[in-house]
Amino acid sequence: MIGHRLAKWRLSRSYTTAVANADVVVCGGGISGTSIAYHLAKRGKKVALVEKDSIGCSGATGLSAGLVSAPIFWQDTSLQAIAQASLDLYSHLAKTCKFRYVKCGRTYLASSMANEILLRRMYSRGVVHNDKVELLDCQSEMLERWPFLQTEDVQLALYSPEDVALDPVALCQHLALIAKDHGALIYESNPVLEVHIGDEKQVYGVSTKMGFIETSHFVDAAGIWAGSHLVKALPHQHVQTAAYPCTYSYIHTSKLPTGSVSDMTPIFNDLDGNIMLRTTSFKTLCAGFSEESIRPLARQTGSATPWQHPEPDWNVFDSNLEKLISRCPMLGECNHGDLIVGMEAYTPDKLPTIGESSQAKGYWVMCGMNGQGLSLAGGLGKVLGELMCESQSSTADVARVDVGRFIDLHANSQYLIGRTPEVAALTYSNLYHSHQCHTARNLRMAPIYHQLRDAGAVFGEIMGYERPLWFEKTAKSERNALMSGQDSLVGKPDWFERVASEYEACRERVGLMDMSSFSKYDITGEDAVEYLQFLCSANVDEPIGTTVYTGMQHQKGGYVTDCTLSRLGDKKFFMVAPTIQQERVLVWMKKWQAILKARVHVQDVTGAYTALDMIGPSSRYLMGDITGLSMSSNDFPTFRCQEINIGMATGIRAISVTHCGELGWVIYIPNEVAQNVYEKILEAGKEYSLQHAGYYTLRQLRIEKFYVYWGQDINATVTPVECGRLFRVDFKVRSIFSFFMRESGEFQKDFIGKKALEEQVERGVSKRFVQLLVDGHDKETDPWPQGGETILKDGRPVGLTTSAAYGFTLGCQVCIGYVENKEFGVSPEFVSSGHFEIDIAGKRFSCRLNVHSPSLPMISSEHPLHYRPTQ
Amino acid sequence: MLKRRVFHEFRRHNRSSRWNADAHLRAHERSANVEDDAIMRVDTCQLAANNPIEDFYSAAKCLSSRAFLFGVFDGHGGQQCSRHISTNLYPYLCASVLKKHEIGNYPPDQRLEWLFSSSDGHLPNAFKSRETRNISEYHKEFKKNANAYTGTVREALKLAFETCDRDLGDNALPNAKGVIDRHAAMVAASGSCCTLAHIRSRHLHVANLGDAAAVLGVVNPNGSVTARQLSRAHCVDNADEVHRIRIAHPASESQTVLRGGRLLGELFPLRAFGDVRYKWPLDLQKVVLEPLGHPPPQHLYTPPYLSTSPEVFYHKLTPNDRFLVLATDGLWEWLDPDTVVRLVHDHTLGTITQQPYVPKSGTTLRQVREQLKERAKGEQRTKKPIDENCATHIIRHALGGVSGGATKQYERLIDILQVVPPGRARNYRDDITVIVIHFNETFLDGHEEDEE
Repeated sequence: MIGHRLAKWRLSRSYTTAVANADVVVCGGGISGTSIAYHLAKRGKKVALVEKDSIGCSGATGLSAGLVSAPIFWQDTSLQAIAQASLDLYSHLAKTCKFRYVKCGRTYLASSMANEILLRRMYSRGVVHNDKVELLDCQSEMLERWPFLQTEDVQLALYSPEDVALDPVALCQHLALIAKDHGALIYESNPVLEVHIGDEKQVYGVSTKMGFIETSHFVDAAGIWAGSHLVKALPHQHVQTAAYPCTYSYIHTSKLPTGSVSDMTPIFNDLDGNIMLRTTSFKTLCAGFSEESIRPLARQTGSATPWQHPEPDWNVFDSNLEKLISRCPMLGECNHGDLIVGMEAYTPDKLPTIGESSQAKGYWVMCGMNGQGLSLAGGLGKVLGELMCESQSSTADVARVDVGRFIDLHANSQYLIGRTPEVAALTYSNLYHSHQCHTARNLRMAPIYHQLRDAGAVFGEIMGYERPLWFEKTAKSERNALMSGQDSLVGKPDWFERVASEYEACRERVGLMDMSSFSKYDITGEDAVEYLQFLCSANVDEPIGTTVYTGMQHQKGGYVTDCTLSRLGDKKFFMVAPTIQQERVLVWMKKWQAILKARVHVQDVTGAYTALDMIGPSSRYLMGDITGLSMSSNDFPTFRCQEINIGMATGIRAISVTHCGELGWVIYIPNEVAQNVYEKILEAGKEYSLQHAGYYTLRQLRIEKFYVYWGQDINATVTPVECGRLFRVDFKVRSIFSFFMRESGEFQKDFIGKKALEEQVERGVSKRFVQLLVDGHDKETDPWPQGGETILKDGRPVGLTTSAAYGFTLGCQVCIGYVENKEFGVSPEFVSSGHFEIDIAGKRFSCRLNVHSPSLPMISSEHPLHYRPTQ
Repeated sequence: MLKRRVFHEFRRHNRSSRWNADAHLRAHERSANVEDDAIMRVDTCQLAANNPIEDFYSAAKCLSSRAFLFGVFDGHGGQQCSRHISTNLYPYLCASVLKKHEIGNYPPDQRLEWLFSSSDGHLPNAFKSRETRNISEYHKEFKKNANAYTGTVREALKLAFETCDRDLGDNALPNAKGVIDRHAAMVAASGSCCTLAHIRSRHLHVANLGDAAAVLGVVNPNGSVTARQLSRAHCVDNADEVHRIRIAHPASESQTVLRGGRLLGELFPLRAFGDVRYKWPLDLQKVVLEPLGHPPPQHLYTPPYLSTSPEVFYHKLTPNDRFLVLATDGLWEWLDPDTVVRLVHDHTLGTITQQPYVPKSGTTLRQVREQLKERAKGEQRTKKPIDENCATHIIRHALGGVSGGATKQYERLIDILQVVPPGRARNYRDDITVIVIHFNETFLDGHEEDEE
């Protein structure tokens, strides 16, 4: 009885008085948790690392094979940078600490054309940094080097020397030790019980089994348990994350019965078989990633639940085993070993998730490693450390990995259960921008989805929204209208002829495009103008009816986003931003609204409007016909907006900006009248041979006109000066709002980032966006540019392409990319002199460079004054 | 030598007890290929615990509405009532065909076509003539009742149930000469739960009285199967039922109306046929029932306490609906609806859910592959379930357990079947009756010609 009372008293005491306080509490002792704890401790933060079991031993890290992929694997440059940072960290640690670290390298094998091109592309991006990367196309040479493999059907092998096999548990323990040396507190066997949030949803402390820790920052790096911590004040009682646990399986067996394997034998990844093999002098690990062998697990509830291995299922692993034995026949002689089923958190887009949750201030997440935890967590810890301490990362652009890329639907369990097994199956596949998943589709659809489908649309998903990519000529009603997989990397893609025809319609007649996926916001309120003047780099205080294209910059001048702002009233703006910005921009605007205490109301109205883009010279007459208004260049010039009626429908917002540099209008139709208006447009459009066009046409149009897009070409690391959009920045703008800049110690009255931009103008830039016209490219047989190709000047790498398309008017492949000259800056001479080439999958093509939008000739009678996006 | 004999003896014994168990399970199984409208095949099976069995089932077709009627009847306090209802409810149902559903001109006594029944239906002649009279009176009454005749199947079913029960009670009253029909009184004194499926084209109605249940097996597009319950048990666990009973009687009875989870502390189901002891007023019971040895229950203040109005669920059948399982509570004590549905689904696919493969020590990975391949082949060959009858399959798994393989299952079955003879078995299990109705997918997939 007394003991009971005592225990009760102790318990209550431990809750009332904090056992510790810390700048940051990190939950999770896996590679993610120890990495972020290490980086924060090194930055001088007081860190408390809380692990429910022991460091490195439980969770996905403890069960992993300890393989680290070199940056060459990733197509995306920021992931390359993150992977490189991980490798740098681990190799640095390996020099000072004692743990198993073997730089064994990795060999990728391709036996199909598609994967061969993938490897060639991997090679051309890898060889820039490391000349030890090898390509092998001779089967007997492969056999000689790796006699235990069956190489007859292998078309191409790529050897990447940088890949590492290490001891993940020891690595975590060393990271934790170093963090401890820098003052971090490490609590093992101490699960997090609750994260407390108070006023304005700010984290103020964390309850753990050992007691309460006072802190204002909590990093959730709990792996498959991420997002399961109790947060009582939130509607779901926990922070919602877009990561979901799935199984993955591998066999752990004895050494191959041959003398030709050693610890230095590379890891093998057979891209066509989707299998992986790691052989050493004392064991063999073999994994397979066939989609049917992966199953989603129940969402983990409460971090206190123990790690339980799912039951191994040999039946579902059989298809993998078949491929493994056919690739390495000797494996058949090994003992059956153990089939190990691990769990790992996967995200809808196969990229990790870091950043501050918008649901609670000070609640940071670092989860969803998609089976690449070791390869990425080291660098992600560094990036997250930079985000937490400096609010911007200098290591890598975070747009593709931050939490802001997700909206609510991505955190829905049903959505994730559908999607994540497919993602897990793609662990060692290289995905390009055209890649589409086949699971969890048809979630968000425009009201006119079925009409578009009947008209032949082939859909691609973006943020859960199905948008038409192109239109088939003869559409069968029974067909699968959802694109899945990715475009061929070599030769003309399937859609080429169709897009050519849609392109022609948009250039010479009129095309109709569904643009409903774009993010849309209503910004209203007393301070709307002043507030936007503070956020935007262009002058938005223009008369009602004006549309302004502007960037929103952060303090360092980079684009948080670009957008068009249409002034609908004295204190009412309608904002349109890229699709993928739906959450990120909202969070940015709300953050500044709170800081400035501005009296504005920002409302996300993305789902309320169907957007139809009418593109092309005849759009003027078509718009005139359906609205009964004059659409002449005097009455409705470009960059104007107006609320109009079409037929019986009212409340339609027409904006004379097409997002691709052509004449035309985007009309934003309230969803309930969208079908009515759509039919009306089709009816009236017959006279002008109106044709449906898809997103791919928009892409060809805008790239040919050197129209950079946020998220594809530009991002938070790019400033208007670098991408030729300085003419959109108005340095004279003043806002009544001011913000005390801690760094400079003075009040800032200008738009955010003005100072950085001015400095950049003064100093000149070391990076410049250019348009590249590729010469000598045979579109039938050559590999097509995809973005991410190396740009070379006189044989030396100077930059990368960011997106690419076929220029139907220019008659060649067109890329957008940047050239860089870190030491001396990019001067006009730098761009105009020298011989430029790009390297597409190992093949070099000469290029002509444009720094401004080219003027494109037209065949039809009316030659509208062309809007030139890049000047 | 001795060892071998012991072994042989053991094996023989083993075989014979297995054979016995199978025979016992299959003794009352029945299968009928209907292949008419939405119905493909019907499997039934029954296993007694009481002696004589108190469960009955029957299936019939109403020629006038082309509706199929399947019912399971779980008697209590004797088998008379359930036996009576299992044959005599159907004429009432056939007499209550809605005007819009009438096809052809069948007189009410020629509408019924029996498919099968577990009771013989032989009744004393005097009794029979009275039944026929009752039916034709009811039919007239039904046709006059504009509300029911032109109303819904739900209302018609309710009226048929209620009238059937009323006539059952009336039969037990003394006739003009003051003579009580002993048999009729026994029928009225015992009781019966009932779950009845009424399937007309693709319209499925399930009328339920008491604690038997109907479960629909729905196959999802991804191949998995889910159970949809089409009835709710009328017992003390059902909060709505408890509420219904409590508000129907004065507050002063709140302590006595439901005691120990039973109606008036005696009856478990809260709705049933018969059981006039909970329906008739006290003075009537004293005249009719007490002389026959049925004393009225305690605390009988405001009868009736027991309702005969069925709860009717409607479901429109889709091609995803593969089968309907009707079973008395004897089954649901052992298995939950999800397991039952999975068992039926696996049975129709001809598969047994296998134990996961675990390689024996010393096997190489190549051998693992070969064994997996063998297993996959074997799955097609030997995975045939032991019972052809689906309902028997369910009962086997109910008593033998779902896990542990065939040997373990037989062990449990032999244990529960052989050791305990019927009669005494009542202490361990209840009578079990299962009807599995397999639907015709092609019919349900086809276009609907009759729309209401």
